[in-house]
Amino acid sequence: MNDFVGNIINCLPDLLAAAPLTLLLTLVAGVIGLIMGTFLALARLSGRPLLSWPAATFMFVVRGTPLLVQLYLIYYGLGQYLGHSWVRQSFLWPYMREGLTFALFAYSMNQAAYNAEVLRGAIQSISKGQIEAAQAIGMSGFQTLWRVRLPLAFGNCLPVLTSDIIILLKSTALASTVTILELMGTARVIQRQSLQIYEPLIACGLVYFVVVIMLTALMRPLENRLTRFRKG
Amino acid sequence: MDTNQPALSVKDIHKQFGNTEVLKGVSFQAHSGDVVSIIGSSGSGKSTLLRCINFLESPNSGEILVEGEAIRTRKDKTGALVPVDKGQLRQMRARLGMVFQNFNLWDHRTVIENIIEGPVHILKQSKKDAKEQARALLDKVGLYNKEDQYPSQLSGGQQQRVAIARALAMNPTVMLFDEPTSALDPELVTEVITVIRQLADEKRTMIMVTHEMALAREISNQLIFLDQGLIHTQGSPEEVMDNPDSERLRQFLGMLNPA
Repeated sequence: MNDFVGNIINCLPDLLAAAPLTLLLTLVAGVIGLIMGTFLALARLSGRPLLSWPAATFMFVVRGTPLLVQLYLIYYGLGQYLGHSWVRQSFLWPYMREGLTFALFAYSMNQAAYNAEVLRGAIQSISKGQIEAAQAIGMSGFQTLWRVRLPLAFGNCLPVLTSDIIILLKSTALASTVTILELMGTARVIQRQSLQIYEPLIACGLVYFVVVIMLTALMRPLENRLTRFRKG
Repeated sequence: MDTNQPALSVKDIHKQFGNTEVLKGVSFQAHSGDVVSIIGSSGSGKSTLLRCINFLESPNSGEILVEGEAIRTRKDKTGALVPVDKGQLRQMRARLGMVFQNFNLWDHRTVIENIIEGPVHILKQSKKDAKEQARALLDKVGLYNKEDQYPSQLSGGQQQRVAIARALAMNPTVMLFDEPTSALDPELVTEVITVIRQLADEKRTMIMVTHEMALAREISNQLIFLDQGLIHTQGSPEEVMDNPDSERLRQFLGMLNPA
């Protein structure tokens, strides 16, 4: 038993060293996903077929297919294709060869589609009166969007966005399948080297758990700040 | 400027929702200092008329002039009038202060942020000046100590008084009131009416859609009875209320004062 606990503890240094990569994936994809998701949601609600149709299709396809399939398609499909094209000669290739670039791309797309769906609902739920008050005072469409619609929408859906970030964090484990040595990838390396099956996985689960708790604790004050107007 | 220029001219406004013609050609004028009250039963088109003045609804035809300047429009393919120049419409809207039935304060902004929003971001005043002015307005509507509260922390009457302060902060040429007391509990109506009465005393130009007959009689110098999309009767409150000139008007007034 002591051995078992000892083995778990022995896994921790390597796993902790891999945790920043997991966080990097989460935060970069989280931020890009949020920005892209906002534009997607606005395109979806624009009432202009040329904008709303592509946005709706993108959201439907990305949300309707498994993340693992998207990862494989982007990494093996797009990666292989680009590897045989002119891109290979370009200065970008050293970066693009990395699994990380493709994974970031896949996760950002995925997060964008999910965030867009959440934001779409939040924007639609804003009462008409809030927008009319802005129009009546002489605000432009952009001012109304930036100063009234978006702040209210984000306030409405922040808890859902937070939980989507947590889900994203945990789904980065799939990036280990495209050669990225984040938490899960590192755990599997330790498995192979130490011939232990359970200890690396348990240690890995523990680290995820702690990171999730930390992330939740970070988001809580932000949630409180952005929704303080609700407290009557 | 020509001093006889009306503050607001509404000319032959028609408005259709689908196949229903809600406004069938309504015209009236308000000179500086006038208080015009619009009464009528639900569905008579009075709120729609008010919302056509600042183009929250697009009329199908007609013209709105503020101090002689017309909102420039063209017909779109659905037959509604749309502004030719959005910038001009925004400027015109800034001169028409609107107070809504449901207050429509911005939920995510404090009382003072609600009030300085327009002055700072539309009129480009400095934040400091805007806040000073906002505090004076809050004092005027009796809410000096509430500036850091959120709308959700205020009663309906308080919210409506903040909404009036927000409209006043733009120093509008004309104030538009859309049933300002209809969403309030009876005991909160008085505090809002007190503020509106005070504005009338100060000779603010106001157009008010209302069910408060006593208020309309007291403060307005022009009363418009709107019925089925047309002005049925128009005149001083005494003319309209004391000597109703038709069965329809008597019926409407009778409904309000069953005696």
